[in-house]
Amino acid sequence: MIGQRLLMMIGVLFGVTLITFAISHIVPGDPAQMMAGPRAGAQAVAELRAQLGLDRPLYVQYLSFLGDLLQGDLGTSVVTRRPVLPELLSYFPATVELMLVSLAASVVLGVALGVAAAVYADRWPDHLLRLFAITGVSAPRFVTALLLMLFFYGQLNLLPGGGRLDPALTPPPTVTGMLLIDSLLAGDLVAFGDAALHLALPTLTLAVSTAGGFMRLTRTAMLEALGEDYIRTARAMGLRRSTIILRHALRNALLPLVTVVGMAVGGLLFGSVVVETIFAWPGAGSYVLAATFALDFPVIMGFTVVVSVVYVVTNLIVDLLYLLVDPRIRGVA
Amino acid sequence: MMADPGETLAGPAPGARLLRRVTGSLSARIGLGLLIAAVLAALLAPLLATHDPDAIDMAARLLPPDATHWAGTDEVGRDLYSRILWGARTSLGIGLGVVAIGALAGTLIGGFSGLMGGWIDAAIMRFMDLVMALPGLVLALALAAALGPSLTNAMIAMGVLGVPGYCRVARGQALALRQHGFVLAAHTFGAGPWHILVRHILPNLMAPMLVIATLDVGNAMIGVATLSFIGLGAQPPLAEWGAMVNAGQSYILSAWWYATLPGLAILLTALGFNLVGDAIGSLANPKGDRA
Repeated sequence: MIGQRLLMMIGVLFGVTLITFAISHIVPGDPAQMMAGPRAGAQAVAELRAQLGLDRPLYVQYLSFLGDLLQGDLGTSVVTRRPVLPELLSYFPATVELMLVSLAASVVLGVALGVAAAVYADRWPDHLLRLFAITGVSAPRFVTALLLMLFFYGQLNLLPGGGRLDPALTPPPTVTGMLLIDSLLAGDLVAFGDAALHLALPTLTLAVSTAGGFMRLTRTAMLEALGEDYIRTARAMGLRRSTIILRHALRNALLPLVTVVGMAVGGLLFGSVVVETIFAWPGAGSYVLAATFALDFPVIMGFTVVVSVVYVVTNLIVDLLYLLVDPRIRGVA
Repeated sequence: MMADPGETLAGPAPGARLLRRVTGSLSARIGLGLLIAAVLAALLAPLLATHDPDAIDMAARLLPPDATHWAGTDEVGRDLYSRILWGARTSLGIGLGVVAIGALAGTLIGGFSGLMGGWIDAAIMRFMDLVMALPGLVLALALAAALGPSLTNAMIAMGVLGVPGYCRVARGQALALRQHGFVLAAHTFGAGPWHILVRHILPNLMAPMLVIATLDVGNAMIGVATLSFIGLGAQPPLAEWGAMVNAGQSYILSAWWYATLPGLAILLTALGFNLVGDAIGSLANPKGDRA
């Protein structure tokens, strides 16, 4: 079972390289001509083409791309002239920190509100929560981000509107690259508090839409679980209502959520591009967006490969977790 | 046969049931109202607009909403109310275009795949599974960037990424249809696969695909608006909601209306699609969420 999943993952990762390679080769026009500039002569363009290896047959280009990839070589940025992978990885801790906090906030918010909605099913708290959820799901992240910034930063001036840390503070020494952890390791509670405040608005933006989806799923699963025979039995036994809801119904309702959490990572990774830009968050999303404006293809493709790998591996882990959490599946496949 | 929205809709009076479901609950009625408002804004933009959406008036830069400019003006004095109305035309058109690309290609490929069966079907579907296993919007970003920043390219990128979803549903339907008497009969009379696909399979795929496609317009619109917001979609001076929010974000603290009002237009339209979509979705799956 686990071996089968691993084999499937290798297939998918292989597919990622094929698709990225295909995308980077549909660039209209001649990349060598583009890099050389409009005034370059035919001789110079041909030389550049040979230098980039673009004069080789397509399958040779793909194999060399694959070979480089296996050695962790994602090419060189056209703009900074530096290798893509180390540069991209240096921006990742900020993005990972934002994603982990957002994911945690989404799960806590989504599950809590989903349980509340199910418990008050078809009464006014339920209607209100469902309206909140569907609005959160409907709002594009860039709109949510700007509205939150306008309100909490522009109007109330409660939360910082951008950046990771107050420029007046000294950042803690880099260990993980995640400020929350690094500041705790350094015992710097002021930096920790400030980093947490800076995380608030970007996290809220990402969490509003993700939590909306989690809430809807939790509510449905809870309603289903609350209708089961074992709940009736538990009620008949005179168990407390909170025990029934939290111990019996919620535990079973959480199962479908596990899968969705894995899939939400894809949305969060893309969302990071938008949210990091708006909140001047110096992560991989801002980095790739800057590359997009400069049409810096090695960086865009490198980001696509890394993000796809993260996504595929996350979903594999989620699948394996599912095996762990739900003993019923183990026997089936 | 497999359960799908199309099958559930094909009752004795599907239109009436659908209408009753969509107008039955308050949230569905609100959704329908929002959608009608967006469609009316798109259709009647030339009549409802108070100004030329592209007319520059440097004397009227960044004016807050008032009696003349109901939604204020932008940094070159264009009337935002008129631009939002014309933007409805662009944004809804974009949503329809994206969905048309994905649904047409997906239905054709999926119908073909299901009809052929065997290794062709297996190969096509494994490829579609592969694309679906990847983060779609990130691929759309890469594709749109590779094609070059333009509205058409953003629409193609979003449309192509929608193909696997439609393909899967169409293939499931085609597999089921393949066993039906009229397809077997056509086969017996020597009809080729192309004839069977066009004359017998595709017409029967229309209803379910149309329902799914309609509900998808909202998501498609948001996807392209997001690409426009990051500069890969609609280019200035086109009045498109995502591009307008992008242009207005630099003024978010000094001129709140500029980014906020087009942003609300996207939000409310997408909300309309989702509310109606949920009402229709609960028809197919009565146990499901009716939020």
